[in-house]
Amino acid sequence: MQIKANHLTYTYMKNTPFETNAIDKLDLMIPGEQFTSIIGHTGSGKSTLVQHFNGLLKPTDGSIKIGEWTVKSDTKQKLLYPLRRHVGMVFQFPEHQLFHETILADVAYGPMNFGFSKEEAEKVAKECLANVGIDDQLFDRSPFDVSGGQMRRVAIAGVLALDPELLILDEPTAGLDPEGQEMMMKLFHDWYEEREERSIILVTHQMEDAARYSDEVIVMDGGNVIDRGTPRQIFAKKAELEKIGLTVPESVQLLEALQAHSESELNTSAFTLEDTVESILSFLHKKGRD
Amino acid sequence: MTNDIHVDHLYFRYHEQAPYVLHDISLTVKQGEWLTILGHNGSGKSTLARFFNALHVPKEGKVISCGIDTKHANEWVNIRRQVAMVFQNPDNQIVAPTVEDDVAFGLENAGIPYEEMHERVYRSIERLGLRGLETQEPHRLSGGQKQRVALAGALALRPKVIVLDEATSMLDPTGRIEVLSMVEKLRKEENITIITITHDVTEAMLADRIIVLHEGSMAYEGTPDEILSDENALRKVGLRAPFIVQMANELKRQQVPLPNGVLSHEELVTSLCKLKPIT
Repeated sequence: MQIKANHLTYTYMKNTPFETNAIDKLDLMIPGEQFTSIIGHTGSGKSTLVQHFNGLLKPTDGSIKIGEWTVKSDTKQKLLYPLRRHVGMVFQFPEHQLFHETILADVAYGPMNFGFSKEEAEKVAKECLANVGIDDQLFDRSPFDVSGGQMRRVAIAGVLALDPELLILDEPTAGLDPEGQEMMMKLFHDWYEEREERSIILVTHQMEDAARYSDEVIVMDGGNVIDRGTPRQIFAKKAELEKIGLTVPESVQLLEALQAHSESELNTSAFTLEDTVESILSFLHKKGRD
Repeated sequence: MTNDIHVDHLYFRYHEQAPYVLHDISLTVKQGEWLTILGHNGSGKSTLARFFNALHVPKEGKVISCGIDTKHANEWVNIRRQVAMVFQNPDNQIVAPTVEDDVAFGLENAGIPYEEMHERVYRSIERLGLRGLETQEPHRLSGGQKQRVALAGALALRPKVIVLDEATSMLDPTGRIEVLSMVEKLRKEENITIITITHDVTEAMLADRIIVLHEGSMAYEGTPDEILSDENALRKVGLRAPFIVQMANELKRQQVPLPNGVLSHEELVTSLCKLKPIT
């Protein structure tokens, strides 16, 4: 699903002395069917921006087009309803959105709300719960009676149950341990790969995730997009990123340090353990030929 | 050296039929030490931290904080003043409309006279590098700044121990470095004992000593060098070794002759540059 922001401005606390533009006259196009990451310092406007993508926020000025829906400051709330069916949103602590008595009912709530019968909704809910790795023995338990990691997966199943085309992830792995983070990112990536028309927009502080999973990385600062490109292009700009309070993935930090210390050229855009090892091995081989 | 925290055969469960959340924990934390309690989500590490300042009180076993047995309810206020805590979510622990009021909040509750309170608040603000932000609204600060406000509030109480319960896990990388370097400074210059609760192995590298919790029991104890270089042991308890350790191990598997115990970027880079070329 393609996104197009046209002179988008969002002002917090308008008409008060505290008035600030979180987003400032932004023009931006994000193509559909790709995995896009948005990185930026705390307060750079990235969360405010993505909340426009499913109509949670309406622009103060300008407009935003998501697929076939256009949202402006005076767009009626009713028109945002179908948009939210197609754009799923996972917040930082999605488990805070759980509310039903049983896990199954919680996940089936969304589809029922959008007109599915109880049977249909439960069928979809069961499939989604299985996909996120929740055992059917837990279906009748209270969502508040399982572990934190399980609660988060139930909440995510609830978002996936609406079968969105575009999934917005706002720091979905915050607070999880490394194993949990890895599992969660894999789950999202598998969902994305499953069907051609699906897109993901990930807001993250984890440069490793942005580098590893994205087709494109968008860099925000001060309410505007200041750069965009493939992970390879973006994470080759260590100095520029550090200036706006960001870092490059640890693998890139290591390879750049090695490059500087050894005064020889090597491939520094490696984002996985395997690629980093390979780059170091070829550096050691090259040393032999010099 | 005196001990600030002493835990003796502590067991804990939420009610009598429930399984044990903490199982036979014994540990001491020396004055001026930095101890990290490392464990995955649900390992019991945050529950354990709550015993240090009498937010939980043992039914089985014993906890002595700053020389006082935490079972005495009349000492709880006193203990909590000496063992300060900073929690994960900065937004949940800020209470006042301005930075200076927030830092003063704990002191007001403790009934400190105005003159002294004033002096302590501004000293703490100064120490945490928050000068110029005194009259700002805490909610408009960055995550790293908010956690420094929380730390300043803790410092103003003149505690012997500061416990940081996942206090950097919601911050971006710069905010994390900002807070941890302040913690290091407080330990060095104020001789405050630091206990950090985390699943972040990079943060654990800063400690003098690490205790790894797994399913409510103490799985390992040692220096960062000992604990963090053992990739398999960490994997067994649901943790990951630091990236550099994983790299060094993988290179060794590929027949690159690296020395043991490589933990930092600098060490790995220097070792690699010293190696004979592969031909």
